[in-house]
Amino acid sequence: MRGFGPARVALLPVLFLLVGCSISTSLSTSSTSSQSASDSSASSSTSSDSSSRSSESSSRSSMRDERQPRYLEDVRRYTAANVRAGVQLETFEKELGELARSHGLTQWEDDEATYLGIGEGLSDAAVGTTELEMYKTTFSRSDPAKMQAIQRGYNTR
Amino acid sequence: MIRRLARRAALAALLAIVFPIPAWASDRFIEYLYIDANEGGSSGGHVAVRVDDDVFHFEYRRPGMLVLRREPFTAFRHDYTGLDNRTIEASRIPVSEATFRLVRERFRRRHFVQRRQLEQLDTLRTERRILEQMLQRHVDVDGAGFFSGDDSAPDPALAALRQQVVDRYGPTFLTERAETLRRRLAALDRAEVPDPPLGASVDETGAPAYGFARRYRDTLTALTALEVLETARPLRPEVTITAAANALRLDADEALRVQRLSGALTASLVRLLDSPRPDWGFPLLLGMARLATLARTHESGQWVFLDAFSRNADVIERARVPGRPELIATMLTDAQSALDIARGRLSSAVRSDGTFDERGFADFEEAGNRIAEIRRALDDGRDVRLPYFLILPAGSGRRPAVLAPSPATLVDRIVAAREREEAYSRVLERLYGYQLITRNCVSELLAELDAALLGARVDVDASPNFVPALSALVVKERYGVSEIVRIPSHRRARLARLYERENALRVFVRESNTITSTLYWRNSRDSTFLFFTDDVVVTRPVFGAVNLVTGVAASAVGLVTAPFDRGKRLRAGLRGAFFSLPELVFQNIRKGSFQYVGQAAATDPDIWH
Repeated sequence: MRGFGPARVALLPVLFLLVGCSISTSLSTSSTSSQSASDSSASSSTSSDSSSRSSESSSRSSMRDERQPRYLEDVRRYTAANVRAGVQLETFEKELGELARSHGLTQWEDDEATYLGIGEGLSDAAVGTTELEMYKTTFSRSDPAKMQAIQRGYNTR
Repeated sequence: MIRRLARRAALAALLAIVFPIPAWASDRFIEYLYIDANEGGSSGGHVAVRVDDDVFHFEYRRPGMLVLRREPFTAFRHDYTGLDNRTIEASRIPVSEATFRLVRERFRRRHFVQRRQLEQLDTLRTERRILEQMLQRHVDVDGAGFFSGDDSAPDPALAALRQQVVDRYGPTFLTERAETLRRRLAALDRAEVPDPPLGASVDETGAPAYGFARRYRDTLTALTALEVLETARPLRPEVTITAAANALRLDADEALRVQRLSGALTASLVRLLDSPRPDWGFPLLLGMARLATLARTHESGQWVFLDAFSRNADVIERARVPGRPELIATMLTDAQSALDIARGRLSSAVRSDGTFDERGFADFEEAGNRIAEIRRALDDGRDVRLPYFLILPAGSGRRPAVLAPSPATLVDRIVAAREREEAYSRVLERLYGYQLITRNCVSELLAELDAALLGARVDVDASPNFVPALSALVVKERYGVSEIVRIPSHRRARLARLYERENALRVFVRESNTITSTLYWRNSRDSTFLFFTDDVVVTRPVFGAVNLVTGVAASAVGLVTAPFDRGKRLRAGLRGAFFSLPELVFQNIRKGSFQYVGQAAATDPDIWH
């Protein structure tokens, strides 16, 4: 038997010396982009912008997780935050590019989940219907299929 | 005593108010996970909260920050009970549907806010590093490293892509686009990244910024992509991976599929060239590299992929590969299974509207990398890189900085960038600073749970709640745990199987030590030890004494070998000796981890609850 239950109390003096939480290993082993140029940490990428972002989606596990729902949720949250903050379109698209890349996607403009997520984010940001039309046109560059996807995302929230 | 009773009564009253609907009315629950102590980074244990498929836990990040991580439960379980070989004790807390949603959203929200703040810090760091590179007259550009120099013979696939671009946009398009980019580089002198806020909270994110240095690099990347396309440079052979494996051979149907994929990818890249997004350079470089691999695949009749392994991937050294046939077979089985699934999805990688499904292709590329890596190692006698952290191939390469500001200007900007970075780093360290006792992975998790479940934080007084190993007792008392489930470590789960099937004494003798064990193979990250002590109590001090002697002896040898192995053996010996000390007094800090754990073991319903 291991030291669960009362045995933990006996373990206390040792643990006072040894207490600690897991140390993040992601920065030393995952694609830690921005840090790698100068600190030679492990990296496949030397110039992607965000080590937080890239380490976020990585795990030592080789098991596949469902990437798309997490991507959609991330796009929703980022969109809502950026719309509330009044971020410029170019900056938003740059951030979206980094976010998509952390999910293994570079051509996010061809991915419907991007526009569904944007629509959900607009809804979370409590954008009204008049503003919605403006955002739909802006984010989709007036592409009808993308505008529809944004509308669908908006309607689901 | 009276104070404690009063506090419990107050808690009970609070619970009655907070949970007007009895928790048993819902089948929802959250789990508080205690992960047992480990000789490595968490010698006091670790804790996490599971909400549905999300696991949230605070990790220590150098130089002293607590970072909230969010992972799918399957990945978390695989990492901790599989690779780290640690037992998880899950305390199940029944909650109503509303409470379940509240807890989940609270953790997700906090995770999102902190993640974005850390990204802001990374952005500031990146800005500074690009400026430093510019001062050195070169910039690292992702995607540039995929391709050979411009004096190489043109790649036919890229030449065909270039022709499609000319057909679509006209003969002067590429030249004009490149000229626009050069003008942009020359005119790039906008304001720096706005100063990040001097205050920050766990509830609010700051606005992102897109500063001069990153704009410069993105423009340079786009220019590089145009140059590659213009000259149709071929791929560098070392950025690809393939192997003579049956699993990677093209049949007639797949040969057609490769052509369709090439067509869809080409169309997608042609559209990308006209995209207004500011960072289209890397997607174009990656897409062109993939297009070239598809052409090679078609020519050779064997799948060729971009190498997706991390540069510093952990490896099984070539000398040890022949001695690990079971492990290699498991890795191969897992890779084959992933490839089969991805191959099925690949048939839809060209969508009905003719666009390229990058996600489906990336999954196939990753699975193909895993197969090719193992086959190649077996055929050519190479090290086997472990398939962790496989991510988009980055192909980073260095290229000269052009049209950069003067050195004096760059030096001024570097100074300013460093000040901004350090200032914001201090803000985040204040906000998320790690303290051994008052603010660690336990205290932060309990604070979040208190706020979500009880509406306010419960004072910890002078209690030892900050110790991960003791915190589950607090959780049991505070939140009404209904059930405790134990998920055994990989070794202990497999050991239990052996005890069921074989003579118990024989199993004990054989599996008790690292020399004759059939379950454990020394991981180079582990300390030096001889006996496992996590599954024994009576013999623990004796085993511990032997482990102590083993560790000391290994340290002595390590002193001699230190000049040749950079002190690796010495460190392993010292760690082994140190973490054997608790065993002398019947305590255990688990030793022994695994380099790879197969998916079949990780999903065995008899082992994994």
